[in-house]
Amino acid sequence: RAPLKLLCDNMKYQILSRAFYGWLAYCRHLSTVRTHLSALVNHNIVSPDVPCNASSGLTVDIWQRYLQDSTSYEDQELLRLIYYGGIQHEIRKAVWPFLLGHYQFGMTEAERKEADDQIRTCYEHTMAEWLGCEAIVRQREKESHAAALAKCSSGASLDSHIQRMMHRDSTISNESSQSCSSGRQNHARLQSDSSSSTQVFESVDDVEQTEADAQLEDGKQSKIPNGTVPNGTCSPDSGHPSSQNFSIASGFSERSFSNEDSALEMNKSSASSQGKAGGSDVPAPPDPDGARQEEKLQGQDSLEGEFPTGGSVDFVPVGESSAGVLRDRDAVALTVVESWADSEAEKQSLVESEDNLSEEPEMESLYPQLDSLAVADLANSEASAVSSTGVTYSPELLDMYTVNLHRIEKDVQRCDRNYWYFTPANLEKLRNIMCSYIWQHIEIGYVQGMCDLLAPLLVILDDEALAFSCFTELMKRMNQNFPHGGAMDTHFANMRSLIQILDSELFELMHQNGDYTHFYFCYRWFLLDFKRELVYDDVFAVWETIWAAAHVSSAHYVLFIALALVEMYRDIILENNMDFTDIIKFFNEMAERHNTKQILKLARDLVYKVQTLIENK
Amino acid sequence: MARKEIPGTSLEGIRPTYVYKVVLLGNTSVGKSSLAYRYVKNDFKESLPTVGCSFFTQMINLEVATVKFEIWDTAGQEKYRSVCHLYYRGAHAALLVYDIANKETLSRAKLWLRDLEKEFLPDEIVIALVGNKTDLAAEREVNTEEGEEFARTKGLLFMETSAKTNHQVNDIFMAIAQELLQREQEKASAQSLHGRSTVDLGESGARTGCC
Repeated sequence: RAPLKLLCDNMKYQILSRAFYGWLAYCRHLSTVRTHLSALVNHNIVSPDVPCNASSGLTVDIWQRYLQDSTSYEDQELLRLIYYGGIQHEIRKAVWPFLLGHYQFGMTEAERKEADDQIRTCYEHTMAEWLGCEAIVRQREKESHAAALAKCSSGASLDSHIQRMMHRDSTISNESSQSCSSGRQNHARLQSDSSSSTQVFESVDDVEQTEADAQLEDGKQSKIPNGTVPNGTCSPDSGHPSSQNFSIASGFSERSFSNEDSALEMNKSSASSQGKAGGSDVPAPPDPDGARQEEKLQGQDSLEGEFPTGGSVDFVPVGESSAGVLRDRDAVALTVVESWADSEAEKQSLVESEDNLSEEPEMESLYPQLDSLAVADLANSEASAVSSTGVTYSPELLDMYTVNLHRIEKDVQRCDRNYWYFTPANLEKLRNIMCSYIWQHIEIGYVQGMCDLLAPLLVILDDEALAFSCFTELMKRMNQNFPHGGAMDTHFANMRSLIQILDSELFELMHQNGDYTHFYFCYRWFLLDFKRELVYDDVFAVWETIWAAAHVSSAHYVLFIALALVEMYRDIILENNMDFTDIIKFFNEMAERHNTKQILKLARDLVYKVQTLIENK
Repeated sequence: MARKEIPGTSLEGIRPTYVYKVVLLGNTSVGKSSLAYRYVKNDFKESLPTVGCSFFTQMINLEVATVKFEIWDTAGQEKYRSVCHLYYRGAHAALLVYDIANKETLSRAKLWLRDLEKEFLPDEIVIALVGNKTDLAAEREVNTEEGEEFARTKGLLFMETSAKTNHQVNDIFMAIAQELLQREQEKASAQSLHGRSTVDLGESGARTGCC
């Protein structure tokens, strides 16, 4: 009997302890989830009915009253109205800049105007910078295209060879664009150069080429725009080393000549830069090291997107209508470069070339394939370029920008072509804004999807500079969702926790039907803030709710919209026992067919549910 | 090699169903999504750039078997590669798509091939080289022979297609299906030489490979 009692006690003890530990684990789990979830919502619950029913949203009337007297409504009240009822379409253009942080609530009209002017100046400046760069890129492409044509027709397709050639082209066009800034006559000369160089490329076709020959050709071609052809010193079919040397020599004299030209101009235009500009010009083959460092320095400047520090920068007005600007883009770029010459020259006089000796190896590694002859030539050409104008885009920057430019152009062309707003003129605006943004964030570069985020902003704001500013603000949050940021995994983890807490049945299904841990079907939702899931009118409504929600209910409101989308179709998902790929397919098919009003309401309810859950802990 | 789904109540139970994972790779705007869309929906629409991956399925009824393609359409931009990679590992077939009017895209396809070769053994994956946009013949930069020659040296299937005019889109997928089934048969006959038990092993191995 005693052993039986012992056994019973033992069992009782085990059952109790198991129950206790189970309960403890459950409590711990819940508390972790709660602390986790509590970070996702604001703890202060804002009612939809206090002080008044907010379901009709922010109307024209209310906005008018607010504009006349900014004390008539609290910011919070306006945000509450937007969160629960959206914004009347007519005033979206006016309200969005507030929501996105371009304006602050409570700004006077004068202050807002100041903010506008500031952003406009900044935008025009940025645009001028990349337009200048683009002009070089276009020039470079024109040349390499001609070269590629020549190669193609001759049948010798050496990829690496062409690549190398393009690399050298960057130095060509660097120089050519810079020489164009030293005077309009030079620009005219440049044009004649490029046409003549095309001719030369074509005549090169006929020459039978070995690899070695090809290299020589390269060397020759890179010299052509230096003005050797107009001088008549380089015969088109000269592939011999001797004639190459000759053409370099003539290139030198040509360059130093143009330097003197520009130095003269400098003297006239800017007394302060006289000494330095003239000084660095005088030695015909200038110190290549110093020149390279200067080049590097300026490359960095423009890379960081900082404006020339001198307040004296004479700004080239970029016309309001971008189409006009674009039509003679080259001309604009030209004048921009000219106007910068002064300020950059001043800056240069402050630069001690010795300071940056350590950077030299880096520069050299940029031209790993160049033979020593070409390097010497390159250094000289850069020296003349820097001292004559001061505006230089480093080859790195040029290459980076070229890559991005092509990506942007491809995507702009196919951005929402079927939506009425995107006429060719407006697509041009889209392109300009995107290029400006990327120019300022070149280290990130363009990533597909960014156009989707910009497009709705442009549709509503219909103003390049304003849309640029708002897009920059929007991207501060959205940037993290792109592959270079780390936010997507956090979103997936949060989704998982939310579903686990709010819909355990669905969570079970997802768990049992395979690898749901990635929540991949939400990828595009978070990346583009549901832009591709909804039609345009709904995108507007959802976006403004997301922006307002950050101040009203949750800074992670996107999670709740995603959750609402899942919950909306939970019965279908459960009934059909959908697996991972089924769900992806299902939501692909459902794109642009959702009932947005219902989803937003459900999302607000879900936020409320989590808020009360945390409150009652 | 592929997941084999044994149809339950269907009368066609004798005919096996194979599920194959197919991935579309290639430069941006060479027409990957358009090819997938044409193949699955038999339609052409001007699509937005793909972000991340998109997913389609298509069934083919052949005499010997039913084939279900799970098609993963990837974003062309390099930056999305890590994202897509998660979803197409264990693919049974890959279409390397390039644009015949853009020479650079062929070089990119060659790079993709190099990556695939690192990840898969030659008999693990069927690779097809696809020169898309034959409707842009006037702007052609890559000769048919050039693609063909490259495909031949690397042992790839090759076809030139146009998603816009529906030129050979079905054909290339069909060729892939045939090739996959043929490999399936070769494998089966090779395995039957070693006795029944290895067949099961081989199949369960493949199952873990594709999930």
